[in-house]
Amino acid sequence: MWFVRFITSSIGKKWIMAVSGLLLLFFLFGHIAGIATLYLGRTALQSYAEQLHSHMFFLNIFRIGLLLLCIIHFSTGLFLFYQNRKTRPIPYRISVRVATQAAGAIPVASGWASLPFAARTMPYTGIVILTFIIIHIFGFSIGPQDIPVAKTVVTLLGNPVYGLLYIFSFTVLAIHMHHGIWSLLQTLGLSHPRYTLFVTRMTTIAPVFFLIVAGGIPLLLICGVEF
Amino acid sequence: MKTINLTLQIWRQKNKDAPGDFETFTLNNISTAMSFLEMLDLLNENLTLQGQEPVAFDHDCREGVCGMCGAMVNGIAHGPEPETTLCQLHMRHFQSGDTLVIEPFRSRAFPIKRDLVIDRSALDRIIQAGGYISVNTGGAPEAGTIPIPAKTAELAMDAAACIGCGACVASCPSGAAMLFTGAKISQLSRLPQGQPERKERALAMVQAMDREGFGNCSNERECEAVCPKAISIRHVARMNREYLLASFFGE
Ligand code: HEM
Ligand code: FES
Repeated sequence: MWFVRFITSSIGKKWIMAVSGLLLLFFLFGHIAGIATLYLGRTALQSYAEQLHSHMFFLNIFRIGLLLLCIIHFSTGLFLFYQNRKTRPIPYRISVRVATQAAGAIPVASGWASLPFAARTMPYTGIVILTFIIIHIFGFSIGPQDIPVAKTVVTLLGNPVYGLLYIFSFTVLAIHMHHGIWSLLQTLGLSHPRYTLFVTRMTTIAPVFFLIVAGGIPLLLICGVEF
Repeated sequence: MKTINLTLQIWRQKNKDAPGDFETFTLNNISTAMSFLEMLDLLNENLTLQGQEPVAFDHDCREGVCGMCGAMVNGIAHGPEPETTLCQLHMRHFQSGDTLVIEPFRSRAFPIKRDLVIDRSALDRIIQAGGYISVNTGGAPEAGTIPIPAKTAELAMDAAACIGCGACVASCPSGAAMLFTGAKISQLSRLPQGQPERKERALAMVQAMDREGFGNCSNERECEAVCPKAISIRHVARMNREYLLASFFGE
């Protein structure tokens, strides 16, 4: 079948990474928009959460979809990592990354500029994110049910250890996103000189925006701000 | 004439199956006007005079157009100068007393034949799968029968500049051959002559590339940074697009 041949090909597997990554990205920004209601006060977050939970059926379908996306993205990424490792059985004695220098100093042919560090660490930042997601779900979704969720957020994230863990994970996620955003466009074949500068800027602006909005919550809570 | 002295650590391997290792040489009085390959010639002359086996390395044109030469010099394909093949790299870029580690291009798909000589026929098989256009033989067609805008011709030529040296594969952290394959798919997809076989070509060439055991691109941009012809990864994006369209909307 053509679809099986497609998704088992090298470009097909990259396409799976790109599409699942893009959908996760959409989810992430939707999720952050919801959580950001905390900036309007604890009651705003609580009513957002109650609104969400009044549609349990759709919420659960959404959750299953999300879980599938995570599994697909993670397992395909792991498989690609494993496959790519086997392509050079004898490693180089010396191996220098040239794109490291190209990022700022030498303009590369395509004009792309991004942190090579982010590209190189995709599998590792990914594993950190996975660990975070599990901790996050255990803290909130499967958290205490009798306490209002807004209260759980404020208590948990106000805890310096927990709050700093969140800020660290968000930073890692921002780095993952920095490479992910342009990588997924490249994989989908969306590359045109007219938009290179714009996309290059977005690969930094979007993660930083996310980091400020999402990271601001634990940061302010640790500093003792009462929402 | 300025000369320099170097220490060379070169990978030696008798054949495909023999284990290899580095051998260290000191080479003195290297003219800085020499190319890298001429420096290796000098080494080999000395080795021959001493009755030792010369270091095998590939080359043909020695003017940067054939794609036969290539090795990793201190971890960079074709050495430290951007947009330069090994044969066009000159010894004035090195300092006396430098140590150079010289390794063959490494990839599972490029078996080592001897020392620095690798077998790149995997790339030929990718081209054989679809990197061509079919033309019925007969009288030579009139030149300029098919109008092609100069800009289009230039853009196609940017991709056609690939000399097939394999530096992209050698430098790819994922061991992918996507810049090489992408350049050919992109070149032919831009030209009117490439249209009839466009979808078949994308499918067949990607399939051939996967069959040879190359890796999956992670968009780390190493390939375009080392490419002696500065071929852009935009051609990889174009290949991705061609392949997606051919897969989803092929006949
Ligand atoms: C479950 C934890 C995660 C793991 C283990 C993981 C792993 C990976 C890996 C290994 C890659 C690189 C694939 C390659 O280029 O070869 C990748 C790419 C990507 N990731 Fe993740 N990731 C995770 C979570 C996320 C999340 C939550 C998002 C969304 C915010 C995301 C968005 C992306 C995007 C957009 C790409 C680029 C796809 C491409 O290469 O075209 N990832 N991920
Ligand atoms: S020998 Fe022909 S490109 Fe170097």
